[in-house]
Amino acid sequence: MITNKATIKRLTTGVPGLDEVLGGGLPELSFNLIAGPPGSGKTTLAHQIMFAMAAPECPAIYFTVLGEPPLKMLRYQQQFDFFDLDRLNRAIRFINLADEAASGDLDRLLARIVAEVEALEPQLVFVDSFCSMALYHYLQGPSYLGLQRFIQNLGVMMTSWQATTFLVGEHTAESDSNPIFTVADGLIWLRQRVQGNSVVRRMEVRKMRGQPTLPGLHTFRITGAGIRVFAPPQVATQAEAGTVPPTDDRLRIGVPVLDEMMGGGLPRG
Amino acid sequence: MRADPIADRAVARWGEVAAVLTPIIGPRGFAAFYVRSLCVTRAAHPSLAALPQGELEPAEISTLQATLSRHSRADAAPASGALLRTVHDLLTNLIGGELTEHLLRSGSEQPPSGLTMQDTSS
Repeated sequence: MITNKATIKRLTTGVPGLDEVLGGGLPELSFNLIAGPPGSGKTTLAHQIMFAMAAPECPAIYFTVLGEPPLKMLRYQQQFDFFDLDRLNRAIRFINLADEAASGDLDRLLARIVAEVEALEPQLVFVDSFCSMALYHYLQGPSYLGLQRFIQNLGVMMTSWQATTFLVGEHTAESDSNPIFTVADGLIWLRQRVQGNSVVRRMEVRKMRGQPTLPGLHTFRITGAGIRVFAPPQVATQAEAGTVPPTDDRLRIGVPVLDEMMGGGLPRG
Repeated sequence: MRADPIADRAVARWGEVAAVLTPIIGPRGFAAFYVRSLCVTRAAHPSLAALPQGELEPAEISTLQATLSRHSRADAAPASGALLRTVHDLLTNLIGGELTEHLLRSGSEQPPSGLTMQDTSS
């Protein structure tokens, strides 16, 4: 019986703390959505990952669609330490798809993406902002099936081109029946909440096919160095815990069931 | 003396700038940038006054060649140079000098300032 399984290589994202939350890194060739409300750090996260991963032997394309004007995006993103000018054009290409997206013709948009991917053969593909494109298409003429087909085709194409893909989108309704949620291998959701005079940013990996992630909300910060995720401290496994010599010297606290649960009481000393 | 070589060179340089910027900001984004450069530059250089104003189709940049050709070298050279300097300055204001130089240099073997000098020297 052949038992060789596909090996899923996990890519280092370059975002401190994110690899731990993802369960060891980002699965290679995965089709991911970075979602969240405006200002939550989606584009910054996408750029930080791209600048960490992209290299001449691992080229990246960053497609800009109907969102932040590209020059504004470059104006702000270059303020981060990770923004490396030397990688532009050598490893990273920015390509604007506003005209294709504004036409409302998703087939034309897909054809342009295909043409650029075929020409540059990137291993990393980013599409920002994906949601605006979908919304625009919907407003021009509601066609849920057309959008679903587009996403399906994009996912199939990127898989066959062996590109790890990130769609960046301003999704606010997490319970949406958006087809992207079904197609995507990974869903990274960014949130922010105002508390007093501060904003608390949190990240949730809601889905990552092929590997167990750290569940729940993980606080992150955005500084000049970029995003830093505060992953919870690793809990020692049972085997590791077993390496600590058990102590028989216990101080009973007098609550029978609790003492029993603690193996006889609190360790003395 | 007519300014055909200057006009040709200006259009060629704009072609290089377009090749760098259009993929990044899109054809309409580039056309808007070109029109803005014209608006800033034409007040000091009447030889550019005949160029179309307002919303511009990307292909209309070719009108630059015809317009500059109608003028003498003495008029066309500084106008062409000033136009290129303006786009350089506008970009620098937006994305900083380092990134501007990096992008524009990738579209040409010569730095933008050198091209400006060359454009005005004929």
